[in-house]
Amino acid sequence: MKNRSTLSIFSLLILASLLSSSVSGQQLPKPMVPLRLVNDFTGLLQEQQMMELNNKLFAFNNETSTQIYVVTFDDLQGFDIGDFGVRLAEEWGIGQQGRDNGILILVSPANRKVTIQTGYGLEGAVPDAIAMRLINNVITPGFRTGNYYGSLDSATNVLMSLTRGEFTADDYMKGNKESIPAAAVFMIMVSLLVLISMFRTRRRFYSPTRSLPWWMLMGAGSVPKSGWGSFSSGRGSFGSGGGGFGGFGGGGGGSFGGGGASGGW
Amino acid sequence: MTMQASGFFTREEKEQLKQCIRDAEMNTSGEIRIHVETFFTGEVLDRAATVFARLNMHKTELRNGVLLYLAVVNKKYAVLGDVGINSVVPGDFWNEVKGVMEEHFRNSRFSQGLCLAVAMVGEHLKKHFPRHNHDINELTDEISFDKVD
Repeated sequence: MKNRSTLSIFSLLILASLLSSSVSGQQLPKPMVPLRLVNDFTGLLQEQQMMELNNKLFAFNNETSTQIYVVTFDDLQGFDIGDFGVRLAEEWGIGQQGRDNGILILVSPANRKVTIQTGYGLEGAVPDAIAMRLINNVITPGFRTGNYYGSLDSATNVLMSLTRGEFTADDYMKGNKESIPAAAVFMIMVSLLVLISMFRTRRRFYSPTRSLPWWMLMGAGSVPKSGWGSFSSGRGSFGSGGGGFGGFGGGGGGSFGGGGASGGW
Repeated sequence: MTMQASGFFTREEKEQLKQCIRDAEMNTSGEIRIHVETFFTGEVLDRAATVFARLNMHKTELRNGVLLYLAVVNKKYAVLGDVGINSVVPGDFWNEVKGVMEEHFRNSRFSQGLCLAVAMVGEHLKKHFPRHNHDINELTDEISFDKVD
């Protein structure tokens, strides 16, 4: 009896995951071709600006292997922008596999929402508190005045310096302190507390189910947000995705059965 | 160094590489292609497999297509052989090819590294897939760039 109920719960989970993955496949945008780091689906940036930002991020990827994605997309299909960002990062395989060194800045102009999602490999260099500060202090103010390119350019510069180790998260926190109004600090502290408590609950609640798909781990609970600058947490097992090499799944259609080797220079 | 795949090789290098492929495919029914991409995400072998399929390289009669894949921004590359050729080469062959490429790539000798790899693959193709009278060149010898979704 016990066995059967375990089994049925298990099959339910499988069913749910199948349903979800097929749904997410339809809802998420496909990467622009040729593949690039700035995917401006909403035309937020001018062509020239898009190219410049993209080339800067290409050069950074080339130099450090860290992938910083900037994506603008309007239709979040009712999802929290943070959840949507995690799904997108997973689906696109952002960051180098095994290193999880990807960052996604997702902007939804229609919803006036921004999120920064950081791969596990970079959480030390770019903790969630920093990501939030970056949104509140760099991105949001610029977006309010319509300076989208300038904001994204500055934000990516900070992220590049942080991941390069030119300055640490602590330095960034200290360096910015004077320029932030007390109210903002208070707001940040409050949201931080909310976030921390969220993670705590989530962890405790979900800890026995580590193997569940990321979307199940993204539990309920949302951070209060108002217009630009809504911060979403950067958790979830983002970066672990990508097809299995064993089957050469990427090729699609039938078993590949071939062999190969790869490397980097 | 340019970050665009299409500008990665000079016109002369492209011609040399095309000739390398022609030489390697001489007297064999096997097919070799080189694809250069600006950028990709995920795992390089998965990406190479996707490119392999998009270029229809799995549709050779004897499943003896070999792809040399290169991504400029990521500084990654892969060599991928279809099931026909994979079943007849020694177990460490692909790693050997990879090693030759790596040695040259690290010194920025990309076309030389590729040409040597193409020749290594060609040797095995000639041995195991001799050319028949009715053989046709199933795949182009031109290097291709980007434009693969």
